[in-house]
Amino acid sequence: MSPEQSEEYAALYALGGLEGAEKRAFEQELSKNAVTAAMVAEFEKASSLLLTTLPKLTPPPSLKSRVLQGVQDKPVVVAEPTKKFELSPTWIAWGVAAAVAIFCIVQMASKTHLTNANTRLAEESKSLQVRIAGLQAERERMETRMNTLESERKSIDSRMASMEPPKDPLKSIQSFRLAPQGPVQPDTEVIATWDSERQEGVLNLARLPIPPPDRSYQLWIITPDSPQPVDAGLIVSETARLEFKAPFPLKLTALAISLEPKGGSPAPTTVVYVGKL
Amino acid sequence: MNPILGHSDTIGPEVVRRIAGGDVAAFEQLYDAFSGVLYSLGVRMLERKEDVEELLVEVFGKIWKEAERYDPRRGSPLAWAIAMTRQSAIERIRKINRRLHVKKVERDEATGERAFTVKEPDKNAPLKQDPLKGLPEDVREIIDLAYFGGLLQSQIAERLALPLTTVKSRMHRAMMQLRQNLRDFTI
Repeated sequence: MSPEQSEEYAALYALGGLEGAEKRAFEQELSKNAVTAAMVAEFEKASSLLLTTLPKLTPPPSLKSRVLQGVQDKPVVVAEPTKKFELSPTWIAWGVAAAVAIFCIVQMASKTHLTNANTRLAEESKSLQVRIAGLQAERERMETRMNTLESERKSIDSRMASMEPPKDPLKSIQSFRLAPQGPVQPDTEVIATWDSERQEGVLNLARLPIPPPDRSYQLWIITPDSPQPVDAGLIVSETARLEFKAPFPLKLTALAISLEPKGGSPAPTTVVYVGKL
Repeated sequence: MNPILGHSDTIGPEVVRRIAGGDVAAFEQLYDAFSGVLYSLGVRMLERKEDVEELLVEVFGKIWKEAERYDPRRGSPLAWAIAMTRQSAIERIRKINRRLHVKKVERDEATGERAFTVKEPDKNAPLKQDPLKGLPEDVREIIDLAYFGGLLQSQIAERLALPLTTVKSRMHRAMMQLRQNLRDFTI
């Protein structure tokens, strides 16, 4: 349908002038074409102007009561135009038959409607049950996960509580000077450093007198863990720094340097330096 | 303000929506706004007051029951109510086969002039604007027969002894003129 045709038909339709096949064709067009529908609305509005040619009348007050009564009390019944009508037995019989038929149709329609509604509700209910089951499973999974996380948190808390504070690596290290035992070179200096944790130490020697050719310096660890001084090794004359270790776990209380026959002795004979921790 | 449409245009789609929700107060508001214009239209089309009252009971009953079907895109609530009233009135006219709003068209055999007259507006109505201004009388007759008389175009052609195409073109012309005049009026 061309735009011109649509406009012409819309005008005639708004005026109520269309009929027959033309009306049906246009109504079909109207149902699927919003532009045509808007055109009809415009023409209907325009045709309302014709009401301006009418005298202004006021309906009787009783009419409002009738209209409102019908609205509030019961569905409004469309009244037929004023017309006399005599009921005959034949009409009554047809009327009863029609009423029975309508009743049956209504019952069937109602039953079908209810059946459809039941089916729909059952499907919706089933769908909701599946959804609820899914949500419940999800909730259980979440609870399990929360329990796991809670256990992990407790475990971490426990481990943190049991962990010792970090140790001071220098705490176990102590230095002390070894003092000469008799007349020695005045500028000689012997300083020891001992790590009780690692059970090892360092001896720094400065200007230590060179021992006689048949003699050697020997280092000793004095400890309550042994009745005798513990041999910590020989000191060669050129050594300025001697690292030593305890031969077994012990509590060092002092260090001693002795002058022994070449190769060392099992026990100190002539102690020349001693230093207490 | 238009003397007959008055404040009818103050009813917006929201009032109809309230009616669709069962709001009796909204319905009463619509009745107060529309009843005058619809009653005037009904009297113009059916003439008999009893028929008009029945018509309005039917129309307002439809408005109450079918308010949810109202589509604002298809026009204002007033245009919707007018279309509904016309349709119901036309059905009544066709059912009882009466044309009370127009006098029967007769030709004066002696003069050859048409004796048909369109009912004139009440002389007390303070109408100053003519929505069909610029249109000749024969076009006005056709519009009047179609809009207020509820005649189909073929019936108008038969009644006025005119070719159907002439009736169609005149109706179309009149509607185009009405649409043109719409901007000068308040609906």
